[in-house]
Amino acid sequence: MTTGCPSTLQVENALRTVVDPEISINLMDLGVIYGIHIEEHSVQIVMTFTNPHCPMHEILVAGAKSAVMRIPGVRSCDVCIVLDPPWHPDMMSQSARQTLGS
Amino acid sequence: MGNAMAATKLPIPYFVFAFACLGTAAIALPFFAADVLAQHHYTQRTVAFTHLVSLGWITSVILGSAVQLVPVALGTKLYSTRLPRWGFWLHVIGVSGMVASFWVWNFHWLLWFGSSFTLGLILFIYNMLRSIKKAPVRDVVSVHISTALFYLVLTFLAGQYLMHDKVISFSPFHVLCAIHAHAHLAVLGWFFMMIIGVSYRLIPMFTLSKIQSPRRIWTGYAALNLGIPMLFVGLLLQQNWTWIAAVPLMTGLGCWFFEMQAVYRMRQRPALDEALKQMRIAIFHLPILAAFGFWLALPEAAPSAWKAQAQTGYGILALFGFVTLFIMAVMYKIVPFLVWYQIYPPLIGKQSVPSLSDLFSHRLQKISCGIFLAGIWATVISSSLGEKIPLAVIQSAASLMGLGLILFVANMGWIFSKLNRSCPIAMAWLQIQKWWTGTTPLKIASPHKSP
Repeated sequence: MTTGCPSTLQVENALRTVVDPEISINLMDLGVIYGIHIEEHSVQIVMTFTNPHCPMHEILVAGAKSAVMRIPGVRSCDVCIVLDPPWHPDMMSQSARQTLGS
Repeated sequence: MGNAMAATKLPIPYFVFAFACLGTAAIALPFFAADVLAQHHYTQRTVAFTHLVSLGWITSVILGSAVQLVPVALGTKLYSTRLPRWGFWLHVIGVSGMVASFWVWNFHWLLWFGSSFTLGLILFIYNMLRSIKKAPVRDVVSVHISTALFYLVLTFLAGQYLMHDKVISFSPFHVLCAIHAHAHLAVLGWFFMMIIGVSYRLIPMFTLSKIQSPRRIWTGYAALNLGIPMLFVGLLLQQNWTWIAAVPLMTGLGCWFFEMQAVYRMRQRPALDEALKQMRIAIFHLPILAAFGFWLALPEAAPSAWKAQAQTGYGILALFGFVTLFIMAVMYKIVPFLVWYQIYPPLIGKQSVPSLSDLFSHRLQKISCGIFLAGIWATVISSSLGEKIPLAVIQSAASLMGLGLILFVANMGWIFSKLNRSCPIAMAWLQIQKWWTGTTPLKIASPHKSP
């Protein structure tokens, strides 16, 4: 049985299952995902952190990888960390802002 | 994730010891209120109690937090993960023995246990300095932490001086003056400097804000480093000009206070959780504490017994109203993180995992904080009045403060109970949690059985 290439929507949905345990918001709504690049069965995620000193960064990277690797058809997943441009609260979704009380 | 995992395990024994000391202090305080609070503060029980709180609770928490937070805050790795393990046992033996030695007023014991504490401290400072040296950048946080370590060494040397003077009696300084100088060096140089430095990283991180004025921060830093040595010398030599040291000190603390207000004001996380509110209350206690200290430092024609007694209330406000209240709030951020890190990393991205705030009782947090705050103020006022009011009033106030602390320790135990659910204490906690919340406590899947 062959499995097709993953779609961007599938990757986004997978990243929505990874929640920052400190602020209880998933990576997509938090706005830390800067880009998703799919090449056949390989996925590259470009992401940042809400704070460059975030102690959760290793866990969030591992969680993002793990969630994407569970998508049928994904054979490899790389997470590229960038700190520029720095994350800003305007990058959050409307629902995330509501969660934080905005 | 190996190094990070090791770094998150290291603070746990320090925190368990710190909570045990805090719980002991909370239970002991009402029973010994007559000795510790209602009389002049230079009694063997007050000295023992102060070291139980300052070394057993506050210093243990700082040592534990530092091995995890300093590498994170400075973007570096801990130089050694083995040294904190050895240092922990030296610290436990040293602090327990020192408190017992003060309690029975045996200074030969104190020399032995003090040596164990010293060795533990040397290992900690060496590890921190080597870690800071590897940090890629020097910023306000690393400079404040390095300075706090410097004052820790000075505090320790002042303590050694006092201890040896008790055995071979050589000091030309008045013992009370030397004790006051030692205590202020510990509180301002070690506790405050560490809290201030770490807060410049933690509070912007938790509130989704950022540092607002580096110039204000550096001004505050310079002012504190002018005021602390001035105050130390003034207190040691019992000088009339000691109150002048309050000017740079109040400037330094004021800069931190206004910077924190600006950080809170510019936050992108409008709804503050209980821990962040509690930190803010602690910060608001600081101007009151500074004004209290300034009044105590003002020279007067004749020594007043009332002012001498009010120093006990001042000490309680410093150790509990500011330092302990702030640390308690930070613990609601750090301890859930450490416990979470031991259980959930293998599950993230695979199944739903609880957030950090799911690991403790919010109701218990609110209740304990409210009771503790009421207790602090009742204790500060009643202990400042001393023998002018009935002892039962002081005991009731101390009981209220102790109850708030015990409930806080219980909530921390609630978090730690998630680590090992097979031990009898953890099982008992689960039943209490079930009764308290009316629901089955959070289900925790074993990482080893995860898909």
